[in-house]
Amino acid sequence: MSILINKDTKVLVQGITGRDGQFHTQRMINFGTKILAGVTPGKGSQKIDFQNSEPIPVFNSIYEAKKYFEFDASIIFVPAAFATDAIYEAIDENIPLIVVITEGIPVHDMMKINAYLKNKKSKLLGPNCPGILVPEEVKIGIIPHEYFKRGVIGVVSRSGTLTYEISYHISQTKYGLSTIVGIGGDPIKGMDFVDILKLFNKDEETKAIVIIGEIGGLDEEEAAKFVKRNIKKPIFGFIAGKTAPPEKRMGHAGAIIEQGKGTAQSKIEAFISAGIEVFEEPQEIVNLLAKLNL
Amino acid sequence: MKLFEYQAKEIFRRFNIFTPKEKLANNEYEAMIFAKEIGFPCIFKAQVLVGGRGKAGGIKKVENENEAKKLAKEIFSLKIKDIPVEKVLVSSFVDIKKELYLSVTIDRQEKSPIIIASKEGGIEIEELARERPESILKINIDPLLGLKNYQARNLCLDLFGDLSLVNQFSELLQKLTTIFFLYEAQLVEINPLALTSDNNFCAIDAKMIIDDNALFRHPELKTYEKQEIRNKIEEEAKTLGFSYIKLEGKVGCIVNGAGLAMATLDLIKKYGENPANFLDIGGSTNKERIEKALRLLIQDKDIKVILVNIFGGITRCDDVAQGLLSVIKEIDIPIVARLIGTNQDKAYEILKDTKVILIDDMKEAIKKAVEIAVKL
Repeated sequence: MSILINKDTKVLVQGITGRDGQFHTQRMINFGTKILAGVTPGKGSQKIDFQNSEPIPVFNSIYEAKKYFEFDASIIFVPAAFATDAIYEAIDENIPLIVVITEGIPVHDMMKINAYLKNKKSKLLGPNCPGILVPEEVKIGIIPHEYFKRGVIGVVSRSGTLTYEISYHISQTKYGLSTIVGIGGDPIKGMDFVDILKLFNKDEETKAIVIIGEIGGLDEEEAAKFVKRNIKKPIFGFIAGKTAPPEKRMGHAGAIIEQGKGTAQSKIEAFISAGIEVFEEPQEIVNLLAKLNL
Repeated sequence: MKLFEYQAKEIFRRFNIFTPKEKLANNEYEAMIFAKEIGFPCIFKAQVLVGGRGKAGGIKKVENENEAKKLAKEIFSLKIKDIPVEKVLVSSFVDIKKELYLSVTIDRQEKSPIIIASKEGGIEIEELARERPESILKINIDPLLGLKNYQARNLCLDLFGDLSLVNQFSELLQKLTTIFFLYEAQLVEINPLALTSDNNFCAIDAKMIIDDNALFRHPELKTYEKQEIRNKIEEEAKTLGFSYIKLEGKVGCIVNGAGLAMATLDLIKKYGENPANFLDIGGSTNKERIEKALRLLIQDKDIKVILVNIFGGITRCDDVAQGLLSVIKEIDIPIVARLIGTNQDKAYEILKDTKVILIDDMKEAIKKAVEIAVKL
């Protein structure tokens, strides 16, 4: 089993008429994702032709679309200035999984959205994330699926393209990938490392886990605490940004909150002390996996 | 976007937060005149956006007219971390009974705003946080409801031991959080916050950082947008919407995605060269943006080789290839390109008979770029 989605997941595309929305809807259809409908306010009452698919109906609202379809998930390509509203609409329409690709959503909006999400039925992935890929089966997002082979390694990452890089190397091994999840690079986001690690931990298909982090924030440190207590599966970690110039400082407040953590060094140490085996170059994962006996 | 102290204080005053009496001087003569107007002693404060201003001599107490003349000249000829001082805030001297620290910022872990306060303010605040973390008080604020009155009262009790200052302090906290929400700040900081001898709170210094992603709905901040930028290329990158940081090395980098960009930088260093820059061209992109990124990079004369590292997802490799193709004639240094992912085949077709060195593997591409840079 994959985590979060599978080939039967019924998907809505918010922002289906834009350049990226249309392009990646076609790519998801080609890969086998069940795209049922799209929403773009003001551009409803039309159908868009896609290859390998019936024409996809476009509605002005999710409310309208739900008269005809049920959805398990929505993917949002809506531009940043309108994306917040699109997220609220999806939450209020009880879409179980909301995947936000859009980058540049204001951080205050993300704080409010997260507060609003409590006690709601929806789960939010992103924003500014590449989505979810179950190799050789289904994807919601923009991960270039051609490069990844199905198997037993679960990948969770804050990065987009770096995830592709490392997952690509994993695909060159005999193990392959169970699910790739990009949680997104924004400071405030929906699901975090721990949410995804819990799912991988329970997933029987996933035999080992790779976690890809980067400097800034304390997500990796939090993930390490969780791993130490809960995860028995082999787990590997990568941290980007060892040589990056120090983050532009946020007055004294940032330093007070992070207390010397948040650096590459702190994250690597947290990983190691939690039993996560750290690798320094994307392709080193191949050697580490070769030592496994799954 | 960081605001200058004088800009943040303009906003503070709009919300009736007390600040010292102040005037902004654009040259040494203005500084002298304003000093006289405000009265002695007064303070000259260089307006720069980098930290460590005090230690660099950017803050001076001025006792009399003679000193004003001398110090005004001195401070306007200062460079603080390479940035020339162009504006000086002339500020009245405040009789401080106690220095505190107060800020509102974003708590990434709790996904909410957080108020940080300490009864010991000043430049040693970070050291204090390390050595005696119990002296730093923190309150998370509900992003939807804002600060509740009881939270302000509790903080007042914790800071001062009683409620004698509760009215002034709660009011200040409410104003500060209002500013934080209204301007979509990532940080509003007062350090030091003075408790004056007549029991008022006065913002001696002020820092504000506004979320760049929210600037589109804050036209009122447009006038604040003139930023100090160290470097012409950084300035141009900013207008183009690229995330660019100038570094010291010879290998120019164009990468999509911050994580991959950082990993690329890490590997360049590991293989023995230094990256000339961090440049994340972002997600969705097109031919024109790649052209602009390349034209931006080649202005940096330290660069001996350009390394393009793209793993296409939302970025399409053929867009990148088209961009490379159209500026290739203007570039007289070697280009190593690693293009993989969405529309890779089309990209290879576009670049096949050009001087671009195409290498499939990230590690090999980086090694090649380093090898070229080392030789030159």
